[in-house]
Amino acid sequence: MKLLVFILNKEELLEEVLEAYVEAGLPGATILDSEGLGYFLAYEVPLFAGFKEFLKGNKPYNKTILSVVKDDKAVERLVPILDEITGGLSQPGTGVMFTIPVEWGYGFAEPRSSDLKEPTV
Amino acid sequence: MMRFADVLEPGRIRVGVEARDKAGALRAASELLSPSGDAAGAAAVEMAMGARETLSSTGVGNGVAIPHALIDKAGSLSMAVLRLGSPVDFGASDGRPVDLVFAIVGPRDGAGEHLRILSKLIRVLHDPAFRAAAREAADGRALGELIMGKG
Repeated sequence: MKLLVFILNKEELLEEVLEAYVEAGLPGATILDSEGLGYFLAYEVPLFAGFKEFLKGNKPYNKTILSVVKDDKAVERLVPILDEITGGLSQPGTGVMFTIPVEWGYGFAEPRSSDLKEPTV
Repeated sequence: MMRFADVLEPGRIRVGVEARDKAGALRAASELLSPSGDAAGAAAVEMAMGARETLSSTGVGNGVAIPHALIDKAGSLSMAVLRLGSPVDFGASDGRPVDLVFAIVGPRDGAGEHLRILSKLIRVLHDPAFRAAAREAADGRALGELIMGKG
């Protein structure tokens, strides 16, 4: 079991990204409003106002999508769909995605069998 | 981790500096931080610090200011510390006049280091005991030892 974290800087793509999650077999996620360190310091802390040129992010705010993943293949299915939507996370200012192990969990809904299957076209 | 010793030379620590106002304090700091050691270098630093102050005051409260600037001709990141003989209005966020000035100047292509030392400095200056000790330091040497003691 893993926690999939996706910090999406291009907020305007959120709807498409969440649709991609469902398509890949990840029907559950929590979406948080978030903000990058650089932007916050440069624009909210007066002492750092002189560093806007160096600290600014592409977007003032971003979305952090948290999803517990029981099926590793769901991530493998998700990534190419996200690449198609976003143009690839290697594009600066698009977002970052990573997983971390989840040692224990409680309260998760059992996935429906349809969520675990390879999607069919 | 950057150390204050990397950027602060003992000769750039002064106590009892007389400045009539904020501009005077910035001028005194600029003279200590002139990259070339001459008046032209000091003028460049003073101008850059003045420009930075137009964005927002670097008076961070509790009688402390951290004026800073990135300039093209700065050789390396440098800091100067001035304890003013009389506090001056710096337009600080809390309205208190400033008597402790920690000035930093560095090259434009060294913004990362500049940010690190600036962040370390503000962390140290959040400590009321440090500020009190800085005000009570007997001379520049004692003030320097106090700062260097913070790593």
